[in-house]
Amino acid sequence: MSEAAGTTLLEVRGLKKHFGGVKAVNGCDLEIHQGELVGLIGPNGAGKSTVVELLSGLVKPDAGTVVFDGREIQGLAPHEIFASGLARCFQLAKEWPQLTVLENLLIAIPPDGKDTIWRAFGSPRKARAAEAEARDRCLAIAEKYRLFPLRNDYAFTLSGGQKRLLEFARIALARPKLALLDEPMAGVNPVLQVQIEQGIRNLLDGGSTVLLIEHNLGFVERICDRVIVMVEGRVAASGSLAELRENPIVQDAYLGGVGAA
Amino acid sequence: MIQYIVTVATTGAITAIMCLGVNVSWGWVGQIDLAYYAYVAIGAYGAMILELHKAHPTVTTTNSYILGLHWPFIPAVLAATAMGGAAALIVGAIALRRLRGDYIAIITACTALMLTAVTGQDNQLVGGFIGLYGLNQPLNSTLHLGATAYSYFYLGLCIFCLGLVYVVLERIYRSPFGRSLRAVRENETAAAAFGRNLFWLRLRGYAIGGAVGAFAGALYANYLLAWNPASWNLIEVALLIAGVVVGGRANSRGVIIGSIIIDSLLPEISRLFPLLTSNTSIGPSIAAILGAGGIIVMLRFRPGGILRERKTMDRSPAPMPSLVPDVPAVSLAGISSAETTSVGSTAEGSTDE
Repeated sequence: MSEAAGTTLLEVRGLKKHFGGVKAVNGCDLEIHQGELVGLIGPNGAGKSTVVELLSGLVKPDAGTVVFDGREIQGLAPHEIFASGLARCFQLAKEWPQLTVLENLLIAIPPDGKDTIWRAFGSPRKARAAEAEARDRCLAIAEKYRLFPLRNDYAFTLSGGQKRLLEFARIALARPKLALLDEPMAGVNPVLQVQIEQGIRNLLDGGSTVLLIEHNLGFVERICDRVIVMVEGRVAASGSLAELRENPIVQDAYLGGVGAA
Repeated sequence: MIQYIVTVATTGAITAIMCLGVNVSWGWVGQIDLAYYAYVAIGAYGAMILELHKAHPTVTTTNSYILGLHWPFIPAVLAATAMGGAAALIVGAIALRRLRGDYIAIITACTALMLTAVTGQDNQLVGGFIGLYGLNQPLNSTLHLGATAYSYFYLGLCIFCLGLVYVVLERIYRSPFGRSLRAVRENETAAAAFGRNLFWLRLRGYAIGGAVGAFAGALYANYLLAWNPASWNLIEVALLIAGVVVGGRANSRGVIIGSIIIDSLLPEISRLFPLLTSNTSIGPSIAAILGAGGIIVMLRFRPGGILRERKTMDRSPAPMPSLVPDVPAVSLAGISSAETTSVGSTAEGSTDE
């Protein structure tokens, strides 16, 4: 998909976040269109993960605007941003350790006001039906990502790779308008990498837009419509990976640097 | 002897309700709440000022109290429970919005100390340091039971209330609300990222804890028929928390067991020690030593408590393949040759240029 096609889903202008003297994100501008799968690459410390933190509201930006789905969301609380349809997965898996895998998945389904105290008592039949439907969805996703046999295990007992799968499965259940995936493949074995790749395509088929942070450039080239390169807290270039390989700034900051190392 | 056991059991049942309330704020929400006994006191005072007659300034020259509505027992207890919940909402709204962890413990401790000071110093409010007294035995104006029969009746009532609180809290614990609350306790960042309003969830959990405390307080006041500021301080909260630690945090059955051991059996057993020596004040000290030692031993060797938090087990069969979204037919044989090598080779190709 070319850059002109599709309506703009996310527009970031002049986003800034400084941690003391470190300019983690320093005037970042980017646009993501409806239905795109955009790769976000850049050397370590370029500010990619900080952008995800800022977009999801876990870290408040120092400056800049973020317009998501026609609405300014910078400065909103994380749960409000999630409710507006933007979900993210974490680079280091953040499971709920003393909840079972199934409970971890159940939490990922948007609450939509269903977690009221009264629901524990009022209209139990309706509540039970909603719970059963949610559980069926979770079990199907668990089966897909090979988590079904582990559904009754506490999440802290999972291996690193299994936690990554749980992380991705939660995003698949949340069905967001925009999914921010921070290295979903890291530490996952090749069979399950294919599963996650398929999962990313499923997200797109389901109408989601995806921003993917990934260091595996071969994978990025194969799957992404467009790639954004971040260097030193700013977007250095955007386009297809083939175009970017010719870009001297990108070569110098990222591709060439890695090649020389 | 029977009367002694009935007394211990009645107090034990009420204390177990208090521990269940502590378990909501600490076990579910994950906040140490040192104001907890203030909610118990609010429930006790609330029930009494609603149930007592109007104070007569001529009769009680040293102290008086507000309201004096002479309500019947049941509505007064319910209203007192609501007062505790409302007070917890107010304290929680201040303490839970921005502050976390240790700071919440400090804020709640300050709240408790302030309330003790206010109730103690102001004779017009709830009788100052003298407290409130002179309540009639609840419901006995209709039951007309003798002293012994009435003590059995009140024990039964307290055990019934304990069962009721247990069932209600278990329902909430297993509901989506309880699950969200536990997710906030386990990892608040992830819970917020998945749409959970941390403040609102914690506040509601905290208010439930306060309401349960006030309910227990109302029952306690109606059992003692009197209440004064000396009957609540931070040590009481520490003992309740100890009961939760020993019994098993976030496991209601464990909490009831822990409450019985730490807050009922231990103090009663320690009463026997003065019989062995000439030192009459040794009892409470031995109880404190045993209680504190028990907590240290539990935290070292079984930090989850006697009964750990229970897993909610799912017994559903594996979903039908047709329900599983788009499982690509991958096998290890198929993948190792095609996919991984292509991923690996392109990655190398791009980075090595």
